[in-house]
Amino acid sequence: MATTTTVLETMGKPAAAIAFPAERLQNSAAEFAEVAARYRQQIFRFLLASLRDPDAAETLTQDCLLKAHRNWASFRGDSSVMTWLLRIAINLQKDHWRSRRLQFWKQTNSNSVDADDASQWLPSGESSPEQQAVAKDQVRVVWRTVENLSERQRTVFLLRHVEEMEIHEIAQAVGLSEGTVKAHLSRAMVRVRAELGGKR
Amino acid sequence: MNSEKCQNQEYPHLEEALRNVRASIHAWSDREFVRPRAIERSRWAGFWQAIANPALGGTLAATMLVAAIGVPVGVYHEREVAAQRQALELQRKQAAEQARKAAAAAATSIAVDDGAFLDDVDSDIAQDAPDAMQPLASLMNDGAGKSSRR
Repeated sequence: MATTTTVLETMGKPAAAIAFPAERLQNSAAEFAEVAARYRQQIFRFLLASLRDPDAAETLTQDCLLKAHRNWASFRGDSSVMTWLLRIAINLQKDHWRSRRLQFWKQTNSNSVDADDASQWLPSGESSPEQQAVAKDQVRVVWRTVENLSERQRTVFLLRHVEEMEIHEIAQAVGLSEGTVKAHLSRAMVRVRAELGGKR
Repeated sequence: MNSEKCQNQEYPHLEEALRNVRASIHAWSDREFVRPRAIERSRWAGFWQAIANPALGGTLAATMLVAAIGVPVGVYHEREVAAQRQALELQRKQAAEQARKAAAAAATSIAVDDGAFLDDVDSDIAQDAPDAMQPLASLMNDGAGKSSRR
């Protein structure tokens, strides 16, 4: 376990700076099991927020981890493990949308969540019923706005505001420059702001 | 990043809304992540599972092998028997035809023999009937010779 933690901690460093011990290859299966256990929920959350379909999110999470496992030996640590996994997940998500567009006549959206239902998971906390009502309304508006964003804007928005990733991490995950990521994020925020402003 | 925060601070409700969205999605994800999910079995899942069972799979494979070999062999055997039957039938017909021809030939030879036999009998018992005028004719020939000499 100590070896695994060390490897995971060094994943964010440049490949040249990491001295891979010989045991790493021997322990690769155990390492990957640790990686999968650690990041699975986060991958699932991103895919769930993006696809809004729990079953599809679960399936793509499995696919993502399977693909990562196959390519685990070739992972050089140029980016963090999470960024690498999210990049795989984003590519799988693109394929998923593409296949759904091809099968648009089929009712593949049966498990997707309606915007009206999205706010029901909002933790009530200690807020008053009025505050909860306002919060649910805000969630509903943002949820609908995000749904109407372009695929790239939605991905960037979710990575920034749901996964709370930094701009350079998002850029690595989506394979774009930081400037492009900022532009997409800015456009997405303009729309969200406009919708929320119109609501107030 | 600071400019982003400054922009968001201009809209305090935006920060609050984003926080609520984040909390909502996290809560939803946490709940869905641990929820047991029913796996829908495909129509062929039972079939492939049965195939995967060694005993049943072996039996099925053996049955398919026997059918794959047995059916063509059976068809071949059936055709062989039919061909033999046809050959026997043809032989029987040829034999019958030969027998019929032999009988006809025998009957013809018997008829020919009867005719020859009767001819023989006729030749044996037949005698040349003498010409009734023969003695007189010879006499007349003799008398004519004597008178011319005179």
